[in-house]
Amino acid sequence: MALLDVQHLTQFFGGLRAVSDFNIQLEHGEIVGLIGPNGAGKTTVFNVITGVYMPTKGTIVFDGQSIVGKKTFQITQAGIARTFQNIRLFSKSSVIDNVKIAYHFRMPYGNTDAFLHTHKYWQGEQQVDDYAIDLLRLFHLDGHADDISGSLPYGAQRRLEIARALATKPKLLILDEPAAGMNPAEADELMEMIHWLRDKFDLTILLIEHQMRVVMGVCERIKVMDFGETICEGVPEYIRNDPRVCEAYLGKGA
Amino acid sequence: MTFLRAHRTAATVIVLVLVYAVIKVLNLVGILNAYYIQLLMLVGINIVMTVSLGMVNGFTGQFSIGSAGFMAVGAYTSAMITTVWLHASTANPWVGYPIFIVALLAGGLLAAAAGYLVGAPSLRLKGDYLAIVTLSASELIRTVIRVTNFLGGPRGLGGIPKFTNLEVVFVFATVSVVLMRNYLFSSHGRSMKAVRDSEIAAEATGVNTTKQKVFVFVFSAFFSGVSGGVFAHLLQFIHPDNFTFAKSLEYLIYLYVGGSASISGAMVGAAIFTVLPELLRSLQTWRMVIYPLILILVMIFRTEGVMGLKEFGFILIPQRQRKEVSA
Amino acid sequence: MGQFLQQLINGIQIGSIYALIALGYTIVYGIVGLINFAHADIFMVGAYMGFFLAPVMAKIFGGAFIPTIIAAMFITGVFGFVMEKLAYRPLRYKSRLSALITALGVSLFLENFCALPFVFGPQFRKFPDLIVTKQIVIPGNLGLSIPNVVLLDVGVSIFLMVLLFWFVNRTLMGKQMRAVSSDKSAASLMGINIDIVISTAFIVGAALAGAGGILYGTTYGMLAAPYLGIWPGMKAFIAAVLGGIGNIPGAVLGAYIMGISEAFATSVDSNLGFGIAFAILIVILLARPSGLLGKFIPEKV
Repeated sequence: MALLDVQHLTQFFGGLRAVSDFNIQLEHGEIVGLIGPNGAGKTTVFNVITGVYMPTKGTIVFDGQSIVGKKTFQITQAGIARTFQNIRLFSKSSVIDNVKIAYHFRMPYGNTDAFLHTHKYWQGEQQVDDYAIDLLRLFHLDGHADDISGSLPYGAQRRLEIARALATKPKLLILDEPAAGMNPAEADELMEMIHWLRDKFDLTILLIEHQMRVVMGVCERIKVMDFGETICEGVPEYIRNDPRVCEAYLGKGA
Repeated sequence: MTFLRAHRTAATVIVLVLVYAVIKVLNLVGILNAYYIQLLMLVGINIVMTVSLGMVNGFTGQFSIGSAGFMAVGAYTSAMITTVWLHASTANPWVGYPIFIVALLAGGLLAAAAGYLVGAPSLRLKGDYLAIVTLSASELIRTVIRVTNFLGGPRGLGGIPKFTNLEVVFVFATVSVVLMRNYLFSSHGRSMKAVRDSEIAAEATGVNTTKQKVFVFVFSAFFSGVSGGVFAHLLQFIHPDNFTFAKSLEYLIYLYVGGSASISGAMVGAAIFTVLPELLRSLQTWRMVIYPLILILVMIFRTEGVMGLKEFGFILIPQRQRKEVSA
Repeated sequence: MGQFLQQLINGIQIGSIYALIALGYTIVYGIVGLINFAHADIFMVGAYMGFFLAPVMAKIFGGAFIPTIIAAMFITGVFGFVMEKLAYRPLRYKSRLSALITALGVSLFLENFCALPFVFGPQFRKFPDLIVTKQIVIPGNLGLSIPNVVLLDVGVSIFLMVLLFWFVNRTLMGKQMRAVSSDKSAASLMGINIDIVISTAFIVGAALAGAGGILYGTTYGMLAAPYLGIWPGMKAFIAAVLGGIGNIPGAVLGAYIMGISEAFATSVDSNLGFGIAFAILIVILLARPSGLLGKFIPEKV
């Protein structure tokens, strides 16, 4: 059974049709890419899947359950994590706090313990601190644990956003333009990281990306969108040579 | 408890006891007369009001402008319990004080309930609606009190026993600030701040933002309610005009000038502005002209307020030893 | 039936004044996304201007009403301009919250400054008679007569509203305002001078509030204190929210609904009349927060 099953997703904003009859099935462990010119509707698809918008039409089933109509935080708790096109860190909080917040819904202590700093509180804080530091170490961010996240260099902020998403222990990770603003060397590192993420954390990954190098290098399957419609899908070699794709979208050379 | 943790707590307790002792001694030798003691008590009450407002406005990033309404709920509830319903008096402290404490808690709980009624529907909404809702709610509460005869209505409610004294305020202020500080430095506190920094990201990170906002709003209302009760039993007479919109605005000024991003800022703001009018006696009529002007100037020139992001040492909790980190 | 019509007329009368104030709130909110808490106090200043200017105008021009209202609108317009320039412009790129707090500060400052003895003073003032009041009998067998003040309020308000609609929809500046309201950065990239547009919005809103103040003084005949703007301001703001904050026709619609509801509620019980504004607020926020004519604009994620 597919981990994520989206059928006939259509999204209208007032009179504007942003997405038209979008379908996708993600099997466990896949890395799938969603590409297309700006305004094609890719981020809208992400936003609908993650509960930011209610779908105008269509069904979304994740891990056997429909998630249509669920709130974003419920969808995250169910196992879908995402990053954003424009990095949305908790910029005034420290690096480690950003990660700890992702752990909040799993925290074993409640409001009373928080007010009274009970033994359960101290245990919980130790638990989350250890967990967060271990996670940050994997991303080479542990040295910056107590720095204010807004002060980090751009690349580190991107890594932190991914680390934070992983801290929610998701089954599906949705990356919205993770390579934005990266040079080719950084993009190569990112590609390695995406493979590593999938293997180490047992994830399924869906990503939007404009840099063809990354898309071709990392995705096992690609869907191409334009004006809200799916115009092509298949393995990278197939997509690369499809005239419709070239026509819609003179992408950056691989 | 680790040595460091116990050490810091002990140090803070000792300092607090010393401060209290110094005040008492100065009082006894006549340097600080009853007037100054009352002023100090008002500082304590205002500190709690401002810190609790800071929880909602500063740390959760909301804009509530109706704290006086919740204060009124607490004031009137507790006053009714001690005067009309249970007839407590200072003449019999062993009976009186327990009743007083029950009255304060009841006031706080009722204020919290009011907070829930106001907050739950309006915190769902994005945008600036909370401001107008909290303002309206506060005025509505005041109007209800005014037209309700058994609460004294427009004549006010008097004969409230003077249970509030320096010890009460000291304990109350310390306990309240400690509780709120504790909450701030917990996972829930981090979530609060996450809501402030980016509600969208907080949602995406699994935080139930609405529930978090409502909870903070409700407990803030609780502390406002208890403060109201302490206030009522200090002044011994309360009137709807004690809790006008202007009063809510005062707490906003204390918070934003002191610094809304830290507990210390709230405390500093409350302390400065409670004491300031006494120092500037001659400018009394200009008080409510100068205060908003200060607020505007602070917003334009030093938006983060006096304290900015800094906290006093005694507010912070000690860092535990962490596992070794790589370079 | 007579009673019903009477209350309806009362409602339309007060609704007209609310409309002028509500338009100011909605225009400013539409352009800069700010709830200008101080707007209600501009309304107050307008009313007081009437008090001070009327004798002067009567002496210069003979008739007092038209010159007074024009002068008041001019003065409040300038007020709006100065307020924006000094207090809000420095905060334009800072957080929304700071601007809101400052708006509160400006409001408080204005109220208390004007309450100082040497400014307007806290005492009650009787508004000068700008027109000769008389009853106008309505033909027909309903036995109804209305004071000519009603016609004045409604007439002047509608005239100003028509003027506003023309301005917003038919002039270049109006078009620029609509552009900035829609997307500030795109508008500036199109060569629109944002500063001028925002200033204009504040001036127009303030002038309308000033006119409202003059009508208010003429209708109610007295100025209780510099805090007189708070209640009408709050109701007008709720009316703007009811119609859809940022939406100009919405503000007008909301204002008349508010006025008429208030008139009918007050006729039943004065406390009810007071509470109806809150009731409307609660209902609209629960049922349709974007307002009757407002659109829900999803935030780009």
